[in-house]
Amino acid sequence: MRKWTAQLKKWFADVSNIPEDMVMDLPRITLIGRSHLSIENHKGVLAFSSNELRLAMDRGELVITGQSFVLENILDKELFLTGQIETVRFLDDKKGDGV
Amino acid sequence: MKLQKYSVHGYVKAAIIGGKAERFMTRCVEEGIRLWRIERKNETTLICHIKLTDRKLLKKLLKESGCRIRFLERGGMPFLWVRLRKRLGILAGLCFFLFVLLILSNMVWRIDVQGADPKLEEEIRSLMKKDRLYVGALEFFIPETDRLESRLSSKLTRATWIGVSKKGTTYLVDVVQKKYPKPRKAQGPRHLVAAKQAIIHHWIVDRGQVAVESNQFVKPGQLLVLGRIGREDDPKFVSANGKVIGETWYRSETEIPLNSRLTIYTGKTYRQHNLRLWHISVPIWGFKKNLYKHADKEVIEKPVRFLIWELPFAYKQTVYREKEPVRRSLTEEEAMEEARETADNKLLDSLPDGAQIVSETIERKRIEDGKLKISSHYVVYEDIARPQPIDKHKEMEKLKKKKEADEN
Repeated sequence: MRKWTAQLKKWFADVSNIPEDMVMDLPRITLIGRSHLSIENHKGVLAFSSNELRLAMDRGELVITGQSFVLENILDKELFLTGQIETVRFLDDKKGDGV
Repeated sequence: MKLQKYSVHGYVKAAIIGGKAERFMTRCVEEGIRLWRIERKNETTLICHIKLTDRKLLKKLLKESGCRIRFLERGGMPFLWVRLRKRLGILAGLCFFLFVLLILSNMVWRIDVQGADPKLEEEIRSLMKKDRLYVGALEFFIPETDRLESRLSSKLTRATWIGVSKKGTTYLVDVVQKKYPKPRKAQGPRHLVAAKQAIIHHWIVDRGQVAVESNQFVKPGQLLVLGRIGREDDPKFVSANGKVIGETWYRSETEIPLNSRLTIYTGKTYRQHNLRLWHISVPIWGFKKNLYKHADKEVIEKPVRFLIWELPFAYKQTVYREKEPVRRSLTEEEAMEEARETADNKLLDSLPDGAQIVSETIERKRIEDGKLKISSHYVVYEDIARPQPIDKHKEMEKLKKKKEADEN
């Protein structure tokens, strides 16, 4: 069922030319230089330390690593991180592979 | 910037210790508790800023996630307020000081009167005191400067001109005092000649040779008093001086409307006091509206000043003066009386000082378009002498010629 609605959303996004992240609730990650990162549509903070931030996604996790992280602001669906960002990685539910 | 935003509401800087700090964070976000500037201090401690919220809710969330909290710093208005409450005396003192400063900024500190002798100055000051302008008076109740000016100049006869100006908290009154003319210096030799057609009545001559007789008819320019004395072959020229009173005649026409409308003030006034804050006018005293059917409105606005700045507040006073339209109708006799009086005054205004109306006859009177028209004839005694300077050389030549003619 859930897969079916996801398919429908994807088709709608294709047909209507509306960006996928708006229709399909996909995360939108904006990286400004190396020091500012904003993430929309996250599903909660799993772990936070000064060199790692793990966020829950629709499927899987998003792992950001770096140094001297400060969570400048955190809202329901949005967060804003500052610090030295080194990697941004997606983790699937099953395997530990990412982008 | 964010700090400023939340400083109004108040915030705490806190350490979240132990348990599942991330869980606490997520729950906070879900419950709508604002969090910002979150840092990891060490394995067990997270430091964050929390907007001031319900204590119970925060406690519940802490219990849920098994964290303990320690407050590190308190900031923002609510905490500042609590701290200030402990120093209420200082706060009250500060407010009082500002209030006193505000009052002092709107006070008259000095009144300078320039160009008046001490007696006139005293008079001016006492008159201004009646208009509520004195050292130490509050600015709000003082009339406008041009009003002060007109009031002063109407009451002071010894001043030619009075200017009132305001410089901050100082009032400056400039006075130009009347200077009475000094006794005239001796003038050059002159005759006195007739200024208008008249019959000579009498004369008072200080110096000079009178050249006319009583009841003589004179034309304008005719010699009245000769400025030459002594023998003809050895003349002396003097400045003829004196009065020659002649009988003169005038005719005048006057109109008086029998029915007229005019408005008069009844003497009743009503004052409204307002405080203007920016563009909003807040009434303080005097809430009645349209009290009078006919009224003149006068608005006095005084801005409130603080030291050198003008605040966006002003004290506004509106004065309503009741007036009443009146119809006046005169009987023919009353109109006659008034017409005569008007005509007399008009004539006397146009004549030199000391002129005297001897007789007055009304030649014609008629009523036309609701107006009484009269034409009257006057006999007046007035000084008809007009000085005419003497050119010595010409006069001498004239005498010489005359002499020659006589000899021949």
